[in-house]
Amino acid sequence: MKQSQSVLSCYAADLFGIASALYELGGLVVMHDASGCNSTYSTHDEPRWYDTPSMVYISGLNEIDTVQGNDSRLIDHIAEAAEETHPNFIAVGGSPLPNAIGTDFRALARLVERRTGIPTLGFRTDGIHSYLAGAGEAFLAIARRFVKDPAARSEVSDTGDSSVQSFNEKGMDDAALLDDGGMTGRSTMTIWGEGKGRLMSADFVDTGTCKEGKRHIKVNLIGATPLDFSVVGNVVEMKKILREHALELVSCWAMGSSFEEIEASARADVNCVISSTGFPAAKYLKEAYRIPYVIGIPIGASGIRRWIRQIEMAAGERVEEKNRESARTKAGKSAGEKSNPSLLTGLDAWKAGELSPDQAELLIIGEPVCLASMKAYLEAEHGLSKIRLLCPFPDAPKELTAQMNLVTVEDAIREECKKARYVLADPIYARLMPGEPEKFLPLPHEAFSGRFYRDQIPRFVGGGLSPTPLERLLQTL
Amino acid sequence: MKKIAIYGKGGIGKSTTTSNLSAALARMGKKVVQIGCDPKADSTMNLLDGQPLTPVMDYYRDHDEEPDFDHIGKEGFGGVFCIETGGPTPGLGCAGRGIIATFDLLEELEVFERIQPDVVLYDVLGDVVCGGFAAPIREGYAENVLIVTSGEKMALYAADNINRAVQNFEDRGYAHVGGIILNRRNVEREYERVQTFADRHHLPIVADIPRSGEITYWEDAGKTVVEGNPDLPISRIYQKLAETILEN
Repeated sequence: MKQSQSVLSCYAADLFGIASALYELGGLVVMHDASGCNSTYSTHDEPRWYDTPSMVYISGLNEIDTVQGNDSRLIDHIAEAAEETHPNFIAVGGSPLPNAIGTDFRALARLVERRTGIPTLGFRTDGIHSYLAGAGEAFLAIARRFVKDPAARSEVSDTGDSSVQSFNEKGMDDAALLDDGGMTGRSTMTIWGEGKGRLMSADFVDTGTCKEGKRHIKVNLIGATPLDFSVVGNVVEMKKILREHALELVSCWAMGSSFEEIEASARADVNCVISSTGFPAAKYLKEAYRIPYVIGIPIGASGIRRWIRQIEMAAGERVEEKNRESARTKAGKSAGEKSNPSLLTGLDAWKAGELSPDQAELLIIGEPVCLASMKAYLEAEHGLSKIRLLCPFPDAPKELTAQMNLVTVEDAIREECKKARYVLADPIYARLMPGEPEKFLPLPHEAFSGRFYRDQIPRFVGGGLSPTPLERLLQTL
Repeated sequence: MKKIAIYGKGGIGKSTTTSNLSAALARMGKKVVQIGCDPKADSTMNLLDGQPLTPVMDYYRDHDEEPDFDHIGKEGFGGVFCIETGGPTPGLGCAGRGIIATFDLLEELEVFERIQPDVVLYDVLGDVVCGGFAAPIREGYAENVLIVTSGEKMALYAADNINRAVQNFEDRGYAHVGGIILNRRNVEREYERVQTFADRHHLPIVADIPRSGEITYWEDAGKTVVEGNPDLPISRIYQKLAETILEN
């Protein structure tokens, strides 16, 4: 029973991560499950549901179809819906029930694609993994299947002329799709300095074997979903920071970019991984197109400086176009065809993790990239020390959790909270400390508490943590 | 890496055939993984001196957590890495799901990447009774299926069902039936009966294994006949089958 949760909630599940990642890309997303579970997704985990149309469907799985493994009805319904909606692609995954009877979603995708002629992605979800694995797999599938070879795009030149829109100038809402009013024309040529800083640590920067020479920097933001950033302007703020530093945004995966812009992502010089969900795709794009990636969120002025410096460093080492093409042919093929372990298989859901014997001044609980970026910000700008990071996701990418405690068992998290002087986390974690409200600093996380505390979610990108929790923290320390 | 699933009617000799094939491949210097996909969990016993192997599902039941690489299987004769999926307590749970869970674990632990086998053999329960028992022939697992049958009516009936099931799955990108292994029971006109079946389905008979007391003798000693006496004619037939598989 050690894996039971008595007061904590659970994070958004894998299938919801997929739906969130693909929400704005014009695909038909099918959740194979009994009717009802789509409302959990739409009402709790998807703030765009109320104002941004998307083709997210539930299959309405029933008992007899489950017993008989009747996939044909699902295929018929998907084909029927696709005929009406003409999606860019189809994605299908399932809840615990289809998983329990061994539904083969990869085979289903093959059958649907043959039937409809529309590219179809099948996801082996189980409703037990978190949105990190689900959205991570979705972005990875997009990278593998739809990102186009930049050498084949004749409209893009090496001189900086770009037909791809750069930024969403009009909308300040993260959910707003990019329109034709974005920045266009010849991009600014800027000479970047030789930055030596690190955003978080050396482990969080992977530039690959690249070469200097390209000075006009184009970037993708990868890993943007409301589950991590809500729709309070965090993603828009990141785009604004890029623009202010004369960096060109090729695409944002996947808030505010069109499907066509995502397809053109391989034009970028650097991929900016802004949450764990973007990490698998960034790794793939590095293997396939030699695009280096940096990992982190620009929080505070110091965070912005480090973020931009890391992007410049990575871009400075970017591989030449011809080498990239050569590498794509070899490594890309290998990366695309290799049977990589799925993010959605293994899961030790009741991992206690390695508890720390030391007391922490501040314990932060949450998604790994946000955790590391928040720690860097608090240390650099507020002089905090003895900050401990706790990742509650057993399926977070291991490369991102090396510098934090991976603790998923409620009792163990409670013990860690007790040892800390202050805890910065989603308000639901306050339930672990019912008698100590003064030591809890709320930082709502949409993927954990859904819409419950949505109006309290801060815009932490750019200027730093919003005043309320931070001021309280600084006043007390 | 060649990945082959062995199917056939219950009791027809799938485990005997698979184990002897593993042993023969091992004698040729090949690295082999044999995975028993049957709740009985007796596929690999004769590669392990007659000792039963703790199935993955039993490990889960006893330890309340998944086995690590050192506990998922065991090396047997010739370095054959033996794994048994096992299954739930009879009458409870879902055996097919146990197979899928074991395959997930193999992927998670990167078992094939660590062992780097030349050949993986899946020894699967006789009937494809649910999705779990089709898991070994899904995309990414076995590429070919060999059906073990005798000339007995019910064995051929089961072989026909298996062949049709695999054919039905072909548009899903699943494995193909690569041939028939005739495991004789000494019924009348046995070869002709199986040949007729094979011709009707355009399948080759890749091995003709006679009934042999030597097999039983060595199994009583906890070994495959290939391990016990590789020079026997029956052992050489298994050896020839191993060569055929490696060549094709």
